[in-house]
Amino acid sequence: MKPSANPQPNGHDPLEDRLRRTTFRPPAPAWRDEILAAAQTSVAAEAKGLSPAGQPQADAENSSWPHLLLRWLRGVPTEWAAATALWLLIVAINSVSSGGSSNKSTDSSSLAKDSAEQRGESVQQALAYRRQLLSELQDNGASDDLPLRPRPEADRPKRQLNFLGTNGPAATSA
Amino acid sequence: MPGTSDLASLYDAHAGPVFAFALNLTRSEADARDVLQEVFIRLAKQADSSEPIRDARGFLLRLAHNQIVDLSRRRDTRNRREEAFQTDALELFAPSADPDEAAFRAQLTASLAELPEDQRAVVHLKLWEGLTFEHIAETLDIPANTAASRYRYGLDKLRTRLRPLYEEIR
Repeated sequence: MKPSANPQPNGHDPLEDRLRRTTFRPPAPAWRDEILAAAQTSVAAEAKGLSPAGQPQADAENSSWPHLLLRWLRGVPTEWAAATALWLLIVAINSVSSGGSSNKSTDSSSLAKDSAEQRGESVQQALAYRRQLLSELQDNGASDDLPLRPRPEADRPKRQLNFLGTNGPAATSA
Repeated sequence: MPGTSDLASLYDAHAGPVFAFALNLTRSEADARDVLQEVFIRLAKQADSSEPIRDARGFLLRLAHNQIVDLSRRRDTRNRREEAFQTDALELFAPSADPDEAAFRAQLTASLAELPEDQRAVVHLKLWEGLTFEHIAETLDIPANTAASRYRYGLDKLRTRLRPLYEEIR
């Protein structure tokens, strides 16, 4: 029976041991001198441009928070593009909805103005009609000094006739 | 500034593991070389600041991981896809004259490529660097529990993928 690759009850995992024994490929030997020379050159070049505090300027700039923020922002361009598109969409929806509501308010104000004018006209008509009735009553009181008493229904003037002025006070007082 | 011999001795002692870590994560020999060079440039600058480095291997691995993270952030999706096609040609492990061992290493290379990068980093540091989860957590700047769980998930995937071949050649 072949041994299993699963861990044994004592926690020993033969596959883990096998993996640990697997050796990685080493770096090319030719790189050694190149990399060491590059490191020495970089340090020497930076030593010429030291800041007054004696610290390398590049490191000081790299560790400043604006540089770190910019580096972080550059790292996720897709996410920032999506956020920008979403923001523009929200602005567009907001502008469209506010434009519609302003039109709506304009319509409602014009409607209110129209209805107010109509109400004014009807009130004036009612007042004119009332003034006419009052003048008619005053004319009736001036024509006879007798106390007012109910008249037979047949003698009562028709309102529309009085309104039209075809049946004057002289006719009704007889 | 450290002497040339100091830097050279540090290179001789740590360049292999740092390169292996970078190669396993970047899956590109050119990128791994760039990471290795940048790590030693920073090491030379760090040594120049007269601050002593207590754990050189851990410091170098941490520098390498930071470089790899920056590198992967700079890459766009198109480049990552191109790299995925190049994975088949990658020689991650040392060549072996034994055909079974060569087949196992090729299978292991392909299996590691299927792991997420964060799991691969933990698996590499645990298996091939022998670091504790606390040390891995410090190197990768993650909680130790996260390191342990990533190792467990990663190893389970490797075990599932490698079990048939492993039991056949064993």
